[in-house]
Amino acid sequence: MKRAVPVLLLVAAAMLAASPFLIDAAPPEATMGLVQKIFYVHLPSAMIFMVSSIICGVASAIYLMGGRSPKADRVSVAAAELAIVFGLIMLVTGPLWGRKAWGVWWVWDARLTSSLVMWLLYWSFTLLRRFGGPGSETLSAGVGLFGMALVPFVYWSVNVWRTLHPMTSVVPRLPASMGIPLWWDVVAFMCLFAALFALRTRVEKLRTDLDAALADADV
Amino acid sequence: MKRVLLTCALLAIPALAAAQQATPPGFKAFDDSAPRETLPAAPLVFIAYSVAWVALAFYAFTMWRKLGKVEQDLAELRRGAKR
Repeated sequence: MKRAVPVLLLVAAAMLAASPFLIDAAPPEATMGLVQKIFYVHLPSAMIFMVSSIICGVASAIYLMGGRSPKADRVSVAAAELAIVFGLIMLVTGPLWGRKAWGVWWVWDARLTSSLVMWLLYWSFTLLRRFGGPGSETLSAGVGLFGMALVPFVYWSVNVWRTLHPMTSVVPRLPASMGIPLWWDVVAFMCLFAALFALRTRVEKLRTDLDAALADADV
Repeated sequence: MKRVLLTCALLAIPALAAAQQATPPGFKAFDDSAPRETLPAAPLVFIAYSVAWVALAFYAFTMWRKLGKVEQDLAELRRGAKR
């Protein structure tokens, strides 16, 4: 995995360097025009946000039900932190697009509100781990499970409630000229996510080793 | 007949006055040739991509630094333990 990180980073960097040319070649959307190009960064970050949430939730479930595995704990911590990073990109790029397309920065509809709540949940996970003291691993694992439970709610919210946000059916119906840059960016973001995730998990492992070594030195 | 017309005219005066008052001074009817408010899309697209790249680059950089620091601390601790 240690060797895979530079390779994944290089692949992601190469793909992201080529991405502006593909996005530029994609036709502007008929009603929204140029601002729709934000889609090619907004959707991949939203997808990674949900993937991170699922990874964090599964790792939290394994931690809670599988005998408090330290590996599962490390995975949940890394995934929660990456959910914050990619969630931030999603929550910043969305209003920039909405300001031009809808005329407002933000609406308190089901999709936007549930996404914000989910993002704040990962902040609570991370803050709990940082300041919660002993036993915060179990509490944060509970928060991680709740975060994963929100994923289907956030995903289907656009189809169930009336909202300004486009429905999930938009993506499968994309013409190839818009689909190619989108999936190119999704793969690039996935590679970047995998590299950052491996890096963050390794930092957490070494930090635990360092704490154990310091505790041994004190004894 | 004159009386009827006079009565109609007298009744119409308050209605006309009310109609004039309904439109507050300073507002103008929509005119197709008038310039419309347009928000340029290019700065919004530029800001969106800039935020994404800066956030990801910053996170990758901080992770790389943290990894280096923890590895260094661990190596120092192990060297100290060997002595």
